[in-house]
Amino acid sequence: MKRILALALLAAVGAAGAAQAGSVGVSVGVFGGLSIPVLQDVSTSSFSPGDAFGATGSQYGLRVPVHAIPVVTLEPYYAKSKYKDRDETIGGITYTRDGFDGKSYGLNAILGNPDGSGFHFFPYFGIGKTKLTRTGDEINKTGYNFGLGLGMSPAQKISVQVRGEFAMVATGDTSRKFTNATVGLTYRLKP
Amino acid sequence: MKRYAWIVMALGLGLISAGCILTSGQVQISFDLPNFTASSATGIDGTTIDLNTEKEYKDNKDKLKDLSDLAVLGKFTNNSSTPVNVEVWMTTTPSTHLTESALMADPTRVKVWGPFQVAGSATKVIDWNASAQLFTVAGKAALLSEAKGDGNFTLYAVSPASTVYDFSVANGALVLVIDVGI
Repeated sequence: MKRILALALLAAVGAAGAAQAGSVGVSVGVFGGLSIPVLQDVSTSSFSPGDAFGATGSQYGLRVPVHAIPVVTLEPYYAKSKYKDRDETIGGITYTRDGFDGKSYGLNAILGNPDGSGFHFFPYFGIGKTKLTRTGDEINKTGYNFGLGLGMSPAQKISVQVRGEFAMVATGDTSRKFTNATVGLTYRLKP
Repeated sequence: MKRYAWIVMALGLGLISAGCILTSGQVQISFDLPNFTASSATGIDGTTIDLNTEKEYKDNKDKLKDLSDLAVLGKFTNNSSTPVNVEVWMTTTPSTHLTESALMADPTRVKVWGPFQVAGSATKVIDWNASAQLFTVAGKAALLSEAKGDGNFTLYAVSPASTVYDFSVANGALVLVIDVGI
């Protein structure tokens, strides 16, 4: 949590400094797509590579990229996710276990400007807080993500981004992991 | 461009230092339980579990970090006309108690799960989600300790709150989802 606050503070200081210089770029965007659990609740006795990925869930949210310092764009985000229930037959009876509902917020650091003109790739990483809940189970821990995005600008002030990322929620010495693929639409507010 | 290279290298180092957090997963292990009965008049059955008999547990025991999900599953039949509140207790040392009073006198006993209510003369299959909520904090800790320890313990189903009870459990299973560092 302290790291998130430190990053947020850094972003604010950077934004304030750049604002004085009159060069802050601020956008607002929405995104949505797929989120797939990785290596969760697997059975190792009959494991095949395809079992590493759980049932596909969904994710959507809001991003506010702030381009205030050279090279790096800082992007606060808020996202919600929903994972599918899982059916399993044990002892001849089929049971259903709830999938997680997730909420997360945090800050991404993007190399470059995702709203820039033309086609461009941008790597990024982020840190935040993620809460995963299902009946009888709650995880509320620090989350990390990193990935690669492809941005394009079909019209002035508007950009479309496709992102693929790997996200994880640290649970002590282990983690719950997800791969996400999202499409986002961003509108540039400033300049 | 050099500036980007340094940032990417720093990122890489950060990910490597994350180590086990990245290379980990959740492995599900199911232990089939024998059918058993519990009666205030004729006595109780215990079932001794040796986790080491399960290959998935044996393969992952040294990498086990935590328990991430638990469930007691099965079909509960109340053979009495009065409602029963089923509880699962364990003795951390394997035991062969034949009565509830003998179980309650065992210093290693821990209430693991329950109560799960079954109406009089009824059969009820427990829902996984409901079962996950019925684990006690002490029971979860005891199971984790056993999973990290010798993995040998005995489970009993009883109904301490009832004066008279008679129920049976069929198709039972204990499901553990363990956090393992790979």
